[in-house]
Amino acid sequence: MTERNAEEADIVVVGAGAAGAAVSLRLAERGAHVVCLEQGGWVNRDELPKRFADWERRGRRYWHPDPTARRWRTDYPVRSVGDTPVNPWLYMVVGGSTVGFGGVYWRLLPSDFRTHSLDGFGVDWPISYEDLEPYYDQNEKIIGLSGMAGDPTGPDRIEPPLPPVEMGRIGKMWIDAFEKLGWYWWPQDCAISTRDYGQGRGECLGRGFCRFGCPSGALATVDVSYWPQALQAGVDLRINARVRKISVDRTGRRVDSIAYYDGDGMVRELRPKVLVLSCGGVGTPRLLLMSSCAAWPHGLANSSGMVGRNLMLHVHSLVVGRFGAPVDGDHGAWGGSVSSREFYETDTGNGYLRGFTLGARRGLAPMETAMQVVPWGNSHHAEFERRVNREGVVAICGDDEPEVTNGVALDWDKRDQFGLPGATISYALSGNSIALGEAAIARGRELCMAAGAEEVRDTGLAPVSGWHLMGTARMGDDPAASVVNADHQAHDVDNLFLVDGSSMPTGGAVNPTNTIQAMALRAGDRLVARRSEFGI
Amino acid sequence: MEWKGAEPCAMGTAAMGRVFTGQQARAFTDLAEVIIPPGGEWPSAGEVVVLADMEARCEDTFGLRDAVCMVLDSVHQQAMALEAASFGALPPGRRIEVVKQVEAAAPAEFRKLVECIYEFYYSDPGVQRTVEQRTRFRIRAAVDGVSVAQFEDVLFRVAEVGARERRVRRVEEA
Repeated sequence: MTERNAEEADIVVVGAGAAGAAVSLRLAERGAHVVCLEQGGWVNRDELPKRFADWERRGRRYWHPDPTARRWRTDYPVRSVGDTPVNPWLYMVVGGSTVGFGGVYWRLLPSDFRTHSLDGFGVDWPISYEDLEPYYDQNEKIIGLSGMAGDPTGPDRIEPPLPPVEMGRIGKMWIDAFEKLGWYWWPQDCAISTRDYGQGRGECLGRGFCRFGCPSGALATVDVSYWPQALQAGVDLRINARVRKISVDRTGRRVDSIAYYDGDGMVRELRPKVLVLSCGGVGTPRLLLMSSCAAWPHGLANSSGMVGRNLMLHVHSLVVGRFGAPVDGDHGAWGGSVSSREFYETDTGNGYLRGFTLGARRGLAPMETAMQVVPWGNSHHAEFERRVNREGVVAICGDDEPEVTNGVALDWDKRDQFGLPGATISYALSGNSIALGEAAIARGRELCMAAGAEEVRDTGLAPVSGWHLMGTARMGDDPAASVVNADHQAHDVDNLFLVDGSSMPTGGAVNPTNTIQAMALRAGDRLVARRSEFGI
Repeated sequence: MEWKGAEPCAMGTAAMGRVFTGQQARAFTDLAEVIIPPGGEWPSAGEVVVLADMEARCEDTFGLRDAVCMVLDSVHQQAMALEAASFGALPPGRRIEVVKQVEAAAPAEFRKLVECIYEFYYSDPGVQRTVEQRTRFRIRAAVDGVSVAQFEDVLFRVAEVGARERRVRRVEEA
């Protein structure tokens, strides 16, 4: 059943995750009337896995990061079909995938915006680090960044609002190892409040294993950091609102309406003056491809053919050192205690372009350790005791070059409860990514040995964790090679803006949430500056 | 009433509201005992893992039921082929031999079952207490939090790094 009369709106934002929340807040606090459609609901914070002693089991079941395994009512299916298997990692709720993140919160470096000019890698951004810098500052204040200014491997910056997270005994072991090797290191910036930050954002109690949600609200998931402020600013957030189609006018150059299913399954229609898509690196191209029409037969705003292409995931692996004695594995920041950009930039002596970060932290949880490496049978208990609380992890994150062959497409074989298509991820690690990843693993092993590990293992380069979903509707100056311009405005459709990780032309070698939110705040300001063009 | 059909899983219908046949249920309990045997303070998975949990898991996880039933049937069939006896009646060494054969024949399906057994085992409160006693890793720390130490004791080391030569690549060279 469809409502007869479409509702008028100034700005409609689709997606209430990291980017959607940030752009909604910025637009609303500048006076715009914003409706935000989120296909999921609020996370029930009383049911977070870490409220319960069997948190690991709950985390593997209903909190699973793969929507196809988790199967929440509001999810759509996502599956990997490429040469390199990818484990999808995304949440469709208020807060988006931040509800399952670790809060590792880097900035990109100035060189990340110029990788093509500097190294012949990927493409240059149409904006610079300096364009984003004030928005990094603003975002870090909103989310309550913990960390320290002064890292000699990063640009000058203001002091974060909160001091760094606890390192624990393992963190100090990692520092010793970095020093032994002569590698630069620095306390990890985290989206974790190390002091009470107001609005229910309590002090971190060091529970760890942040991806299972944070009962104290110390972890700056967007549902507890941005959304209280956005609602206060007047954003009209509509949950369980599943978008099915975006329609354009006869010219094909303007979004006319957007149709969505509400929580009762009724089709509703909005007619926005401006539409902002913030559904992430999978959700945004999926919605554009679902909205193909006579004017845009290959997907809305897709004259370039770049919608859904150039997917970047980061080169990722865990290098795990096993030590001879307990390391207080239940202490220390989970996402990262001490990190290094020692190998961040291109070294012409390497067999690959660009580089990686090393994030050193506590070990894995007991059940996860057992799943990964403890054999069944008579040696089970001895091997379990040899590993649990005696391991530390070095997480590698490497730059992944955008390639048109890696991407997201509609999956008509797997559909959601309304019959809308799911998404496939087709991805293959490039030769550069493999060479870079192998070098990063070798450095991670070196670090473990320097820390005194008796044995080192790694999780390899695949399956790839599909959590940093970037590049699938990238920004650029050339309409033939990009989907949006430097203001996130679609080249093809005047009142359509794409604001999330899909806009990133390259991904750097760090976790992208800080950058995505800084981009979203900037996009909000750019839109406000041009509001008269859209009759707002 | 015992289920008499040969393949309840393939039929997609559980007998009397259950997922497993009696034979499969016995095989599961005996197999759990081999996957995680008793040792010192550690109970075996056979003592801890509840059959009903496994059946419930099979019912709410797509594809799991067929995989688990296939493994359990294979365990029984291998045991019958080797010793003309049920899996549980085999001597310990022969049980391990059977399980290794089943694992080699269907590694993906076997892995699913093993992961379920690990999941149930390490969620058991008694096992969690043993984990804490034996490893000094406090599982409850993720629920209750820990005493968060002050960071200041490494600040002087951070300051030393901060005083080093800056290494930020200049983009003007582009």
